[in-house]
Amino acid sequence: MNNNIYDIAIIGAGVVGSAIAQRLAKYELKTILLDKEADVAMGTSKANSGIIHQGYFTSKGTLKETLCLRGSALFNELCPQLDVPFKRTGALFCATTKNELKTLEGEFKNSQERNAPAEFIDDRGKIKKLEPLLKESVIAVLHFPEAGILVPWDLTIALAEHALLNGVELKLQFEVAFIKKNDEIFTIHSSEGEKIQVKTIINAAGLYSDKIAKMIGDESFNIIPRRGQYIMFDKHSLNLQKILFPTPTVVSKGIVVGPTMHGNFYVGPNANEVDSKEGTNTSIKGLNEILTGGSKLVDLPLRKHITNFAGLRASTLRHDFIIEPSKQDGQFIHAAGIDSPGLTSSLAIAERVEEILQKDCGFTFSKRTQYIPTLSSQIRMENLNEEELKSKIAENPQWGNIVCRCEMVSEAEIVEACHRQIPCTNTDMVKRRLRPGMGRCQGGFCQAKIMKIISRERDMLYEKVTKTGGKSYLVFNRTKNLGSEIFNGDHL
Amino acid sequence: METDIVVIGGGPAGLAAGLAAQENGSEVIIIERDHELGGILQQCIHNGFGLKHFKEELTGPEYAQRFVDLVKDSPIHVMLNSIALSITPDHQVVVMNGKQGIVHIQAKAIILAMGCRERTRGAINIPGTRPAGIFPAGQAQRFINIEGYLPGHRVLILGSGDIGMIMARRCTLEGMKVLGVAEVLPYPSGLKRNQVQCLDDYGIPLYLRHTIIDIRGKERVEGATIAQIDEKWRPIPGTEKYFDCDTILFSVGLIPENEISVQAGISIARNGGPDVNEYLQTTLPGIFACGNVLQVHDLVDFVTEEAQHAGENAALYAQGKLDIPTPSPEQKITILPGENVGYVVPERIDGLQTEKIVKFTYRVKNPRSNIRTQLVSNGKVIYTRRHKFVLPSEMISIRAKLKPEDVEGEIIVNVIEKEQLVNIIERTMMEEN
Ligand SMILES: Cc1cc2nc3c(=O)[nH]c(=O)nc-3n(C[C@H](O)[C@H](O)[C@H](O)COP(=O)(O)OP(=O)(O)OC[C@H]3O[C@@H](n4cnc5c(N)ncnc54)[C@H](O)[C@@H]3O)c2cc1C
Ligand SMILES: Cc1cc2nc3c(=O)[nH]c(=O)nc-3n(C[C@H](O)[C@H](O)[C@H](O)COP(=O)(O)OP(=O)(O)OC[C@H]3O[C@@H](n4cnc5c(N)ncnc54)[C@H](O)[C@@H]3O)c2cc1C
Repeated sequence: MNNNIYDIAIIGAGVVGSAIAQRLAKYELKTILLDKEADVAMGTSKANSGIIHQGYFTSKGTLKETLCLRGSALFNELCPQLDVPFKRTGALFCATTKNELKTLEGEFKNSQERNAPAEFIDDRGKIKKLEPLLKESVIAVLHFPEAGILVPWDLTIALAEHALLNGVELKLQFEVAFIKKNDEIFTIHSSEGEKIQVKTIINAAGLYSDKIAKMIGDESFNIIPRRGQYIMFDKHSLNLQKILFPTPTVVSKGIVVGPTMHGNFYVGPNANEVDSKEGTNTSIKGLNEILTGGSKLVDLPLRKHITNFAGLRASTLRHDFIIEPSKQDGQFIHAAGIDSPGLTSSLAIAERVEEILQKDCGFTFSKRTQYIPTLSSQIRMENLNEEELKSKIAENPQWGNIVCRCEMVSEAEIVEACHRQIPCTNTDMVKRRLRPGMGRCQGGFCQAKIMKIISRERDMLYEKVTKTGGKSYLVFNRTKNLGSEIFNGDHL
Repeated sequence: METDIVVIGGGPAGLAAGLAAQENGSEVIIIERDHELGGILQQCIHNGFGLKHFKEELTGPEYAQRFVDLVKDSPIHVMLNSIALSITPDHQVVVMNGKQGIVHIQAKAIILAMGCRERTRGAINIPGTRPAGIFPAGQAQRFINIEGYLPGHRVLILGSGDIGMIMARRCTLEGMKVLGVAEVLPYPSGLKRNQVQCLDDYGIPLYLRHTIIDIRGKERVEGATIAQIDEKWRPIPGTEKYFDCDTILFSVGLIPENEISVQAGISIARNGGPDVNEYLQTTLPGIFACGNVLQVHDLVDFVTEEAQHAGENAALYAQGKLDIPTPSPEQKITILPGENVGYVVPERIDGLQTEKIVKFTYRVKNPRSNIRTQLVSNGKVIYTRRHKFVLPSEMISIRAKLKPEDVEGEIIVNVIEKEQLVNIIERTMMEEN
């Protein structure tokens, strides 16, 4: 056997695949993480509520129930270790009718059985104290103080970067087209004709995990995309303390009004099955539905929305996560059908996959000798005090050049993002890491400048700088046939 | 660092304000974030600027250059590539740049001239996918006029604001195909002359009372659907039109850029600009505002005029000569938009001891012809001016002579027909009795 053969290939660099990669990076393994997109976290992991749930409203005995609580607990250690901002804000499920109140009382009991800290409150005064913005019509709440929020792609990027730091390889823009097996070795073929040889495959391809399974003849499940739409509101337009849920129905957890890590807030998601796995479009009907839903809990500020978007849940008829070796091939492990609470469960899913590799796939792991346990995130201007910022600028004048004025991002930060473990090669990659373009101007002022920085730092023609990779070009040929060029100036 | 006056923003407003303050005897520093002066005018390479101020037709950069040259020849100190991070009520400005790091400037007065930004697709909640190829019209203008790149081939434009219509022409001239302009209102929201010169002359269809109801495309825009809307702004089934386009431009309004004003504690008025008095002074003494940061202007010539006014007053203030009384609650005069008026600048009058001329600028909500502006106070009409027609796209500016004895409490600005006014007066009088 030659040493071009990987021990493990993980298909899909969403939060699940990245968590698995980060977990396995502790060991002396030759691991590769594959994704068809130009960045990690380009699928469902970039468009969800970002809530760290507490097992509430999951069915007894399911993987969702166990892994959700285990996953939530694991963030206490991981977030400081990988420098991922995380806040346990607490969540409130709200009842406006007697029936809903009964449902919440029932769930309160379930939570006690699960050992999830919870508090049932039907005193208006206390409710008001917890969340002054809640409408008077809310008569009772079920409070989960440990529920929290994080930015889902922050987590995914940090997990992937940490894995890379410890020897895992990442191959982006590698779309798995088909898989062959010979002499106990899989060959994974990309749509561009590239090949990777590997002993064990982990299927973490999200919405496409059924398609990947079928590549080895496993037809045991189908993914049904269920779309959830959102509207994001401007910073400081509502000063929410808690994540607010209505009382869930059998159909869904309902429309949330929730804070983000950066002081914005959102309403959503609704839930509709859609035909297409690419169907992340929003619709007038959907947007109206979530505005109506959100208005039941708080008064939404008018005309303060800054963007709308949608994500697709990878649901299956099993109504639970599928984390097991394929019946077709014991060296092919599914981490599939990971719909909500998949973000919360991601670290626990990785733990479970590690167990399966040891128990069922015959791996004996030896610890990596030069393991680096922590990851430091980029230094952000917003976190520096005046003296620190002054000395940064003295070192490098690019710290004094603000590129994005809505979110206050300097040129120096963007330059660094172009040279990190996963180098930014398109404007959305920069946006997910540093937030230029996420503010109220949505990139109107800074996008052209960020394109210049990427062009200069990555040595790319200006017109080849895209929004999300692939053919998502922002500009085409030059006016007056001026000819193509790589930007290499100082004035952005 | 110390100075008399700090001007934040080096666009046409900041330049004119700075010059006026300097001519009135003040030491002035202009702070500009960009690497050159001129503001948004630098990318407006079309003509039509300066007809009022210079009595000749200039392009945006030419108009700006006239003021840039004057500033260069004056003792005004300009800080380029420098961003004002914050201001304080006692007139300190914190500035950052790559050369000096962070500088604190203590001034005697501050002039806010930060301009505005464009309203985005998300701000008006247009559904669909989110591929590349969706731009605010001003960004597309920057790509073409400053960077020299074409942002697409087949273009649909939402919003018939001036920038949108000007971009329809600009894209056409650069060889792009403009398929149409959709507008939710029953009339174009930009100037008439732009509709004629930028759309009609090029045969670009304008779809009034239409909006975009869907955007398609994964990586780059692949198409969009527009539909007619009813009175409640709901799309009317059966009126959908699909466009095979790769680019969508949004020209759906501008929003004054007031983050640092708000941080300092300045009150913001209903139009998004600082609440100012007749001296263009904000709710913080010694801090003045002018240009697009105060109200979105349709013509830069009005920006210049307004900015000069702010500059003169700031200079007087810095020299301790601007005698604005602090009105007692009974003396306070509030200006309120009335019939068919969206907003009025100023929002209040702080000093009316003797007869004086006050300038009011405002916009109407709906187009009307053969109509008049009436200022009403205490149930009485105190000023009238006729207009042949009024349009929401055109800022109206009047100078009214006000007498202290005529004004009490508030002044309502109405743009109405004569008969209507009688009713209002009758109603007010009836209410009083
Ligand atoms: C509306 C909504 C709200 C949610 N809210 C929450 C919440 O608040 N809390 C919570 O815990 N969970 C939530 N979830 C669930 C959570 O977002 C998902 O469970 C999680 O993101 C799934 O991660 P993943 O890695 O499995 O999938 P993905 O992030 O979709 O990753 C799969 C990856 O596989 C790649 N891929 C696919 N096919 C191929 C191929 N052929 N070759 C190479 N790569 C391929 C894709 O590009 C993608 O990057 C929500 C989900 C939705 C839709
Ligand atoms: C895209 C666009 C196209 C337009 N087209 C036309 C047209 O065709 N015809 C017409 O008559 N009018 C047009 N206008 C309007 C006209 O140009 C404006 O009325 C005029 O430019 C406003 O001048 P200003 O100085 O208030 O703002 P701006 O020209 O926007 O200048 C503001 C300046 O302040 C700077 N600044 C902002 N914040 C800070 C800070 N914190 N620190 C330092 N500097 C700061 C900015 O960089 C900018 O240079 C257009 C406006 C826009 C936005």
